[in-house]
Amino acid sequence: MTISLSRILLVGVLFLPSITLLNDSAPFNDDPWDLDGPCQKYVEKLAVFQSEMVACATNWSIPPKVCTNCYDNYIKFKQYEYETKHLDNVFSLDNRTCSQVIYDNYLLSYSSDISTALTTKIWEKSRCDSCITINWDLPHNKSEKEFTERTLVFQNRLYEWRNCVVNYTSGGLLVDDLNDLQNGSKICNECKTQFEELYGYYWKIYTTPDVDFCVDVETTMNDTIHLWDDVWKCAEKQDRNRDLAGIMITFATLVLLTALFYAASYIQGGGQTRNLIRYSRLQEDPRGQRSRLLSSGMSDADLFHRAATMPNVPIHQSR
Amino acid sequence: MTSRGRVRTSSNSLDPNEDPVSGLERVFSNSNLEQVARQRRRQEEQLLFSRQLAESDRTDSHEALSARYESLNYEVSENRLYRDAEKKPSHQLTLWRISRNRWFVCFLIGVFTGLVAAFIDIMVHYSKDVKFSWILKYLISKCSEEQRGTTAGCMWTVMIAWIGYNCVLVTIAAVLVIFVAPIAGGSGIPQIKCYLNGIAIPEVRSALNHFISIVVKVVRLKTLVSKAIGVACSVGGGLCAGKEGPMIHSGAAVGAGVSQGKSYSLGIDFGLFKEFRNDRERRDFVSAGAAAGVAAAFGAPIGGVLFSLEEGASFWNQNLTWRMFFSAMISSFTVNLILSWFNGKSGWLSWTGLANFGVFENKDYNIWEIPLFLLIGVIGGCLGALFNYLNTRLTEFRKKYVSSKFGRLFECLLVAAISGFLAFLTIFAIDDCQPIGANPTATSTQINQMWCKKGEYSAVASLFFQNPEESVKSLFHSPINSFGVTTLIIFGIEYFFLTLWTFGISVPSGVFIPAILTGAAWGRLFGIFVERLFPSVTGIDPGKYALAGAAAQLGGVVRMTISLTAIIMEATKDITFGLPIMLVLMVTKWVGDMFNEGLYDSHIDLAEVPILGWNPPKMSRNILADRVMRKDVVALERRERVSRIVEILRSTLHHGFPVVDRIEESPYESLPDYGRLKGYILRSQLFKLLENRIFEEEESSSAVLPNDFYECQDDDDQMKSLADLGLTQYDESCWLDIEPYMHPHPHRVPLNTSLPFIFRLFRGLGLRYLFVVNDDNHLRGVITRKDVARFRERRRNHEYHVDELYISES
Repeated sequence: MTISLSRILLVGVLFLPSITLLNDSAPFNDDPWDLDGPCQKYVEKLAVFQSEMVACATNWSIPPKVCTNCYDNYIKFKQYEYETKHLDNVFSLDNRTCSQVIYDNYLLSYSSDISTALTTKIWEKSRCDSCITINWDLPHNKSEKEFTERTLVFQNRLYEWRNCVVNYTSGGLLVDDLNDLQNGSKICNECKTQFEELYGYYWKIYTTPDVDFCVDVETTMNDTIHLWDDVWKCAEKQDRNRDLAGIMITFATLVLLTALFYAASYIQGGGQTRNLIRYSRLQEDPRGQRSRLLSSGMSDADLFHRAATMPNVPIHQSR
Repeated sequence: MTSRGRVRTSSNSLDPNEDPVSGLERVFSNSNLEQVARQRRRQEEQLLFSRQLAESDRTDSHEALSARYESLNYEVSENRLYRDAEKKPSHQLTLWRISRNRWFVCFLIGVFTGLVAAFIDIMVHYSKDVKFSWILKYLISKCSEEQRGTTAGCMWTVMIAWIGYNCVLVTIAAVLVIFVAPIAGGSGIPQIKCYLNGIAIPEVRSALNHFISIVVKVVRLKTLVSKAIGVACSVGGGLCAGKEGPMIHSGAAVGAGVSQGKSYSLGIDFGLFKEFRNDRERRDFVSAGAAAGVAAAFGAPIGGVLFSLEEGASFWNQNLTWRMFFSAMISSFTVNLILSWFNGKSGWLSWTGLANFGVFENKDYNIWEIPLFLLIGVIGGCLGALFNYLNTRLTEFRKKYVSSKFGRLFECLLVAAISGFLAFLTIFAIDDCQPIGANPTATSTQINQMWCKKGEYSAVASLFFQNPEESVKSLFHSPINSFGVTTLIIFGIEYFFLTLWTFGISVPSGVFIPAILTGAAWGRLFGIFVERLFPSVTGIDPGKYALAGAAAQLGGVVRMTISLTAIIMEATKDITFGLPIMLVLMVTKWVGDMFNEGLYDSHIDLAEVPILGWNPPKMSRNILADRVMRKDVVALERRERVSRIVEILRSTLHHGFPVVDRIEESPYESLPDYGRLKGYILRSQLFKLLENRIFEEEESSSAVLPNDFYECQDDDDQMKSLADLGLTQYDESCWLDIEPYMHPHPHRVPLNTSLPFIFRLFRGLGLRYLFVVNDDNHLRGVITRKDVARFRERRRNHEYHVDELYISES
């Protein structure tokens, strides 16, 4: 919008000094100077869908629950985005198709930037595909959404648990006595099974690699856990002391083994003495058989005699 | 002392100094009196020596060099055959083929290294799946069902299952190392370092090369397979171990293997690449393999090349660097290809390395942060030095006391059990439960619900129960509040000591990732403190301090410089932090070197390897060749009787012998008086000559010698015993003319050469022998690697001294 605005300003400054600034929320369509005029209405329509999607996302941002609440807006937005990308029969004044005008970046393209942000930063980052499968049929404008199996199961279990809680709080969930500890412990006891089932299902999916929930489910569950654990104090204390004995036994065993092992090695080992030689002391005195090898004179008889009696023992040598 | 007993028997027999056949002129001129005098003198000296030996030489000092290490053979024996080879018309074609094959082999090295690395990674991945989805998830949920309404604890059964699983995997790794391929233990980088320095590590090479040829291949494949499976098991088994060092070793083993053109898995000799079957070519391929290994492990090809340059190569050339880079690129490309396929994105080549540290989103740092980075460097240097000191002591203890096979196996199990247990203990002790959703980066696979209320997860557990690489990533990139101060302190300390304990047990395990993880923990802690000190400065990201801490800790332990900088920069895919990382590593190395040397060097010293460092020892200018050399040289004359050669081959293990024009008895000394140095010949060449019966008497001197006789390597024939040659008594009485086959111009120095000069010759040329001659070119002694390496500089009371190390023979 800034671009067209500045263009207008420029035009205004150059040719129409008396023109007054137009309302910038509604760019004009019939400006003969604007070559892209014929495409303007499509951009405006896209803006409406985008802003609806943005509004929905922002509305559902604490906690983030875009997937389950904004899928309608998202489908509409994607649908119209698709249409703007296929405006092959509508032309601007210079005979380019409007799709080209909108998406072939001139300097910047806000519309496509915003579209990308909505798609990647909001929809994909929330892992919405894990919860909602959308069967895209954009050419016929018949895209259909479907909640995934695991989301539905999760929802059912969540409702069971909530029903249970509602029953035991006599219908009023938001009354003060919810925070009452006594009432809380009652809920804890009565709805424990439902909670365990809900949590068990969630945890199973959560810890399975490559299978996810979307952010909606995760935040719902986190809030549920928060409510259950911290507000109503239903959490079972994971008592570390229960494992204390086992850990202590293991600890003692391992320490004992280590100590014994090294002590035993120390007492047993270390007996090896090595034959250490200082070469500088060897210089003058070749010993034994070696001295025989040094000189070229060797008796054949002696040679055979020794070869027969002696094993092949490597003797003192250096190289 | 068997040799003493042997001395007596031999001196009781016929006079050993006289040989009526070869020394005809001399023998008859010798008087009996002289002989008796010489004999008596020798006996007296032996007595004296054995007393000396008994008095002083049996010490327990660990400062010794082991006699079992041999040098690699880089020199071409330029004998007549070698020169003639160039005259053949096919030689031009051979030259062309060699340079083509070098590239081809480098390509293969890259591919196979990548395959091995991807294999290890996939194994670790599956092991993680089993552990997390089965043991943790299943058992914990089962537990929480059972626990309902009871008071009995159940979590510790999960713990037992977890520890049990770890122990099983670690047992596999340890058994592979202890009973199958001992060389596969540890990180493998010290071994590669030694190999590239020009030393044949017995287990590497003897296992690889010195056995009979068929065994060789199996053993080498064994090393590679044991290493690959073992490291997958030890990392999967939850040890504080990285898979990066072993990957580098695997890369080097691939390099050594592929270049030889034999299929080790099938025991087939393809007959390919025969021209590369020598130490000189193999060294180049090993360094290419090591570079490829780094490239595969960290996705850091440049870091890999620099690693080979820094850690290994004493010998360098431009073409080799370029080929290494090619190998490294191919290997990271292969890893990417396989992993992208494995993760369902076939053909996506921009996959990050196995140990990528993630990309930093906030890359800002200011000039005022530089002093803080320097401080991190100081801390890293001190911690690294402490680590090395403690680990060296521990390794000494292990070497001395924990030497039995079952002892070592049991130690591995202990470490595995306690590593697993400590994780549980920490989670048990620190109540760090946070509601699910507190850390948006934590994915559901990292969630561990242990001992937490429903809907909460344990933040500590996510550090302990992830793969180490993922923990590094979360320490680098998580928001500032994700880890509490206590958590970081306890985790850092535990990991430091566990790594300390783990490095050196008999499983394949690297120290890279554990050190990085420890450093990232205390670096993040440092970042949190900085953030509290300067609350007014916004935008302090503890992640970058975690990165600096990781670099400092790793640099303090391994003391690598440029290659580490490049590796970390490549693993974070960013050069922005180049300056701080470099500064940190520089300070770290300075500080650390004030206390001790790097971990790999300490381990090399403990293994008593005669490695030659970058520089000759200081204060050694006045140590001259006649003090360095050994005078008792076993030399040959140009024409030798076969029986003497057989005797020499049988009773020594020398790998080459100088050839002189004559050897005479000296009337003054017990050592003979050697004539002019004419050349030298390799043991393996003598072997080949004997095997093919190239004797003078027979008319078979036209017998066919192998084409590459001048390249004759120790490989195949070394362990073939002399008996296999089937020499008859008649053969032994023949004469052998060595002259055409010897290397006619070996390196030699005069008697007054200084040690630094000799050192540089050895280091620069990769020598195996250096002969010492007097002014008339008479042979006076021989210098080998151990003779040079036994002089070590020491710093005491701020002064340098040169010490002489013992040589240990076991």
